[in-house]
Amino acid sequence: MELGDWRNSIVNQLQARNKYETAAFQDIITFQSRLFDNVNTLKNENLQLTLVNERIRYSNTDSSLAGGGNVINEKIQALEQKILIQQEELTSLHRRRGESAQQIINLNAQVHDLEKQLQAKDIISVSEVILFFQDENRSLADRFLKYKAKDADKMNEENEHFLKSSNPTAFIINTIGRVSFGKKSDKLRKELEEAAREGGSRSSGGSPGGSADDKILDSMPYYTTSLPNKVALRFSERVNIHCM
Amino acid sequence: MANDREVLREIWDGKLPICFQLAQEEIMEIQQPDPFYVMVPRLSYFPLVTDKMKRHFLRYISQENSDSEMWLDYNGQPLKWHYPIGFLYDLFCGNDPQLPWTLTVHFTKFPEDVLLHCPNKDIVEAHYMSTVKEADVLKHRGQVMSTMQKKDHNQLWLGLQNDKFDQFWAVNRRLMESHSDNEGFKHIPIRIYSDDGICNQRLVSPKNVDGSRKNLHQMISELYPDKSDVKLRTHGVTLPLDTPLQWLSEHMSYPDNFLHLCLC
Repeated sequence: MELGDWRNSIVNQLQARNKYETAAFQDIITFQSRLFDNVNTLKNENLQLTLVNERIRYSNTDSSLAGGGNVINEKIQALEQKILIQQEELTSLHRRRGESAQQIINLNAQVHDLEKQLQAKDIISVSEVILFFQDENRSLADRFLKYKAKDADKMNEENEHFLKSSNPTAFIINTIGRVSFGKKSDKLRKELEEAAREGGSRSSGGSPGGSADDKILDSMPYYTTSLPNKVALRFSERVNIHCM
Repeated sequence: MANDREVLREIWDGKLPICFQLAQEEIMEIQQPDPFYVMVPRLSYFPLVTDKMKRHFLRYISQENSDSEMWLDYNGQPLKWHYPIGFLYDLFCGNDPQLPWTLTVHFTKFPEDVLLHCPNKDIVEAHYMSTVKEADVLKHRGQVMSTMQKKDHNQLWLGLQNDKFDQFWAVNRRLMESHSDNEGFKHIPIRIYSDDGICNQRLVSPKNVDGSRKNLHQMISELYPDKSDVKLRTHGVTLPLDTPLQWLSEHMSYPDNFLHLCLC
């Protein structure tokens, strides 16, 4: 095959074409493609890392809420629970204090009432006792006076009887013995016996004349005038002292 | 015979830097998507090289459009995916090279009246194979393709798809052989496009009536008798008019075995 200038022209043009169109751009386009791929890879990696990052951050906040935060939360909840319980206790204590105060007031009032009642009761019982003893005293005094009056009557009767009899000394001895005044009365009895002995001797030798009464009065002057009256007075005084 | 390996290799190695940008009205994200730069083989097809780009831009469009068919435009002109990328560049930017070639990516408003649908790469393969067969019919009455095994067809396709020069040419060379005694194809598979993209496909013989090798100039005279000063461009090359058609077809056909020439 004959090859002329046309072939050289074509080959030259093709070579120039490849130089201009292909070689000039091949490297830069290849490089650009590599960069493009790298950029896309990095973009994707970046995106995935961002996602992972977000997920980690989310799970972190989640775990800080659910983990560390959970602990805090649990603590807070426990403390809140405690506070609630304490508040309830406080309220119940307040209520109980109020109840107790009311109870105290009621009991105080009751105490006051009882004190009043007690005071009233004391006053009543004392006066009752007083009245009782006063009554008893009065009755005793009455009985004593009655007995005294009887004694007095009896003594008067004895006296009269004694005056009628001839032996007054025996009468006195009898009377005194019966009455029995203790040592003092013993002493008095001795004195009286001595006096009776002296008086007997004197009356036997006494003057005749006057009435019977006069005769007794004459024969034992101090006996008749002093003895009955003084004794009677003394008894009544002693009764009065006792009663007071 | 396509035995000028240097030319074949130079053609094969041609790659274009392309800048894909998502159509502004389809961006649903606040952040503007970065443009997607890539070197693409001139001989390949857009559906074979845009998977990664598509994934990149899908993140920025409305979810309801994510299953829509993607399509491309240059300066408002939809790009036909069934044409080789290099040819599309020559067609639109042959007179005014702009590199990197900035294309706009769309997911909506598919221009039904302009573009064929391309739901997957099998469609591209089917289209490619049918074009190869058509070219073989023109060259060898379809005898080469019909005698090839399925694995040869696959190797042809996979060699192109995976940018494997040797793998591709191991099979493609058989399609470039001349069978008849008088060297040359029966007809030259050739499509000539005016700058408005309208395709003109005629039966072109590699030989003149007198049996001599037909060159470009002679062909142009036949096809465009009224036009003088016609230039034809393919693979980014303005073809010398004395280039023989047979050689041109053997060495400068696209992998679909057609010569795609742009009038300029």
